[in-house]
Amino acid sequence: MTVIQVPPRSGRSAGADERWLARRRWARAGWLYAFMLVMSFFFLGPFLMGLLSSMKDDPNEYPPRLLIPQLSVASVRQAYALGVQGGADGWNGGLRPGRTVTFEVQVRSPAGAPQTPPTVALFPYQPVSLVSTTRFAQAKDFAQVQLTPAGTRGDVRTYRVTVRTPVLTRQPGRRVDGVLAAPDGDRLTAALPGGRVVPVTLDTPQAQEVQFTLPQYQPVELIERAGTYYLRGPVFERTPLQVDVRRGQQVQGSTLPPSDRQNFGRSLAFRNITPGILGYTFNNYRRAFKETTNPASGRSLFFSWVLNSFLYAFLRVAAAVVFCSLAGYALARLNFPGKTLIFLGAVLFAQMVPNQVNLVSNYVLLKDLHLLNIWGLWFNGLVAAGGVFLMKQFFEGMPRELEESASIDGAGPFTTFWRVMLPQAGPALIALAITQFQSAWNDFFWPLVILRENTDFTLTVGLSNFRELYGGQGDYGLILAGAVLSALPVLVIFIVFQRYFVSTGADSAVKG
Amino acid sequence: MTIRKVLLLGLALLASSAAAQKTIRITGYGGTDQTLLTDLINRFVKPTMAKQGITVVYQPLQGDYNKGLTTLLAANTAGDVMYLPAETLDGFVATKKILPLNGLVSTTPFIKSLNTAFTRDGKLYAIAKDFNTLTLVYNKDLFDEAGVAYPSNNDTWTTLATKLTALKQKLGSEYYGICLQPNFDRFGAFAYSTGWKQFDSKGKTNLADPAFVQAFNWYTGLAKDKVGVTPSEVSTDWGGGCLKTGKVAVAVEGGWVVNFLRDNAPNLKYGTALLPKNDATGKRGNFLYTVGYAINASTKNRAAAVKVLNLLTSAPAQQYVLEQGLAIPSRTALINNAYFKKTEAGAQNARLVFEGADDGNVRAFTFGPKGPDWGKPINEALAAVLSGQRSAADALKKAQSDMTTFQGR
Repeated sequence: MTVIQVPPRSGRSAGADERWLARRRWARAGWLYAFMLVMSFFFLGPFLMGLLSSMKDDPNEYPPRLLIPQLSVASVRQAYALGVQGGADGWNGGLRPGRTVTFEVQVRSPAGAPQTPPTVALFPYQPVSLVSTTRFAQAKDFAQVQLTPAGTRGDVRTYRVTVRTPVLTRQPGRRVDGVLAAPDGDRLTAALPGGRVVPVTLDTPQAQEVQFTLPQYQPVELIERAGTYYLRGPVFERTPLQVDVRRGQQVQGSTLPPSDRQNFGRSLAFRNITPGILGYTFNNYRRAFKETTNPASGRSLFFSWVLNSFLYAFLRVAAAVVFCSLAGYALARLNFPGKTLIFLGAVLFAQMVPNQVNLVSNYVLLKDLHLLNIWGLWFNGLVAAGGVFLMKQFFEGMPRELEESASIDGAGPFTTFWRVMLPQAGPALIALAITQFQSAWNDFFWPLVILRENTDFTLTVGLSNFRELYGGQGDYGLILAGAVLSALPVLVIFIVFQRYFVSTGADSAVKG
Repeated sequence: MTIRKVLLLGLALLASSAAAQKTIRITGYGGTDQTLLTDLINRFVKPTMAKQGITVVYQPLQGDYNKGLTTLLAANTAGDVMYLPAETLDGFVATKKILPLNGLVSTTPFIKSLNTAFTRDGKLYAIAKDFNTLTLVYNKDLFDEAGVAYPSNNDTWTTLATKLTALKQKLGSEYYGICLQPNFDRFGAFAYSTGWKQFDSKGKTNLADPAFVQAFNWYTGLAKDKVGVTPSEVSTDWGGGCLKTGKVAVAVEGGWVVNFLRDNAPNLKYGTALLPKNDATGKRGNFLYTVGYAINASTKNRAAAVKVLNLLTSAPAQQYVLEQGLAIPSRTALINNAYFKKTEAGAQNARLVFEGADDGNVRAFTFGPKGPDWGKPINEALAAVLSGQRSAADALKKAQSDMTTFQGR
């Protein structure tokens, strides 16, 4: 081995060379790092952009911004504080009876422009694409808004907007949250958190006035006193505020940045001034769960879709692990007539025929078996041909000596499989489970064909439903939130099991 | 012997319970309609039908409804009552699986043009569930800022164009007068306004008709100096999106724009006017977009199905739909409803959509027996001219030759 000696240059010490080399090393690492960043930007970019847009008020905003108020510390802190003011809860926000919320707006009125204060009002805002149209009471119909000047600096005036909600009963007692249930004749009833339905007493004229304006599923606050429940008032999820300034005036700032601007920036809308963090930064995520209620049961459809997807993926994985390993072992090691034929016909051929070809026959079969539901979906994917192939290849690669020694010890074929071979098959089984989970989770075509009721949908079909419902309304934030939520499990699985991903397939199958 | 008796008794019981448990299925759209119809059925249909031992269920078809309904009709598994969109009526009528309703249902309470939309050869195939027409929806702020009068119900093509041009000149390059979709489904209303007919007596379409050319030239002429702008030029894909940007003063849309604006531009101050009249004919043109309830010809419970249809289109049911601000129902008498007299922008829009149904040359939105591809040559011509790639005369010539090929197939 020859070592090339670099002759020390004049005017440069060995120390300087060391430093130069160190710099080079850092520069090289930097380049590599930058390259990886760029690559991950290209691969993860769409996902990250979707994630970012799913938090915006207007996911279609053009040009798109990377720095959005939903992620700025100051705004998030304000959202938390406003949530505490309105709903005593910095995370969920909302507006509860008896609360007062203050919100500040700064208006610049230069000399020559009108010096009048802005007009403020609550407005009805409730995304209407799905169920909510007729469902919930609006803060506008209950709360009072007041505007008071709160100081002047130069030509910028600060105004304080105060939103107050009335309390509809004077009874003292314990506060209980509830949701209105179907009225019992003329009488309002409410379901308590435990599920118990109780009659609601309206003891003031103000409370009696709202008797017919509050629909079923409306969240309310009640006062419990001696077994009687008095209506304290409805709980609003949002407090939408609108601010209009005159021509010549300009809104300089506000406690939260406005979500919509019209009229040359003179009409501002704040879709929710009591958001809390969930209602501000993760608004669309919360909406995905909250706004997809099934009108029959009041339960979140999105939640059922997630559960259905997990159930389906779990069943598929369990079935694949059991059947594929058994079938793979039988095809690899047992001798029986027609083995090659079964392998060629049932495994290879089944794998080569596209799903769409036997769509009609499978559909009709499932329909006749009354299995047009998630169980039929599972039944249809019970044995994965690809999985059988994978397990067969794996078992073929295992040394025969293992089985021979087992049979010397007197083990039959099943014991050999169960006690000797299966415990060795860990890597292949994990590979199988991961691929099955992923394909079940992402399965779209069959669920779309088979599932009829929207409570039975898996997440993929539910999301396509989302697109239909909200896409036409331009409500892309919700679709993006749903998409991000549906991608999360697969991402988590990828991150946790990535080393098995690398060693999937033939690699792990042949090595054992 | 006793076993046989028991079996017979069991069978009899089964048969009687089957007779008592008659079910009427309604096939319709998925999504929002699922919620609305379930609500409507629970309120207005179930109470009456339950007394006769009949249950009513709503069966939504998710995804492409026309495709889904075709499959169900072919497999004989469609509901007893079903949604029937007017634009695909001809195809479904040809299957002979839709029951003509003449003599079964009274048509008099419903708007005449809506009944016409569902009539072929004197046979009525559906009763309109609700409908929509086109209106001019305008951004009040832009007109105020430019100091130009709002579009009004008396506007003609010329006066509207003058207003839009003045507005554009006042506001400058970043703002536009009107959102022009390069589609027959908006442009067609203007073509009808001239008295142009979609199909002649032989079922052919004439795009060289001077009436059509006049409308085409006016519509595409607005794109001059960017008074008119296509949605894609303001990064959106329809008129509602144009309005939301706050940079386009007018869009030609129906009642569906109200909910969109309430969600997406809650502080936009907008108004609604009827479409402008053609200067020469003095008439407006308009589309009727409508979906009706039809009855399956092979239903086993015809009488019950008719009853369900009547309940779904009954006055209280339609009143409820209207007052919820969900759709514009099809009964003539509803014009006197208090909802239409409200000053709120959404209610104003609903009133004008309702009025548009029988003002001028109103035609059902349809593509004829050959389906949606019929509109392609027109859409291509509009897109080519609006984007400045072709001259109007040139584009129309090509459109006519494409249309002839299409209809000759």
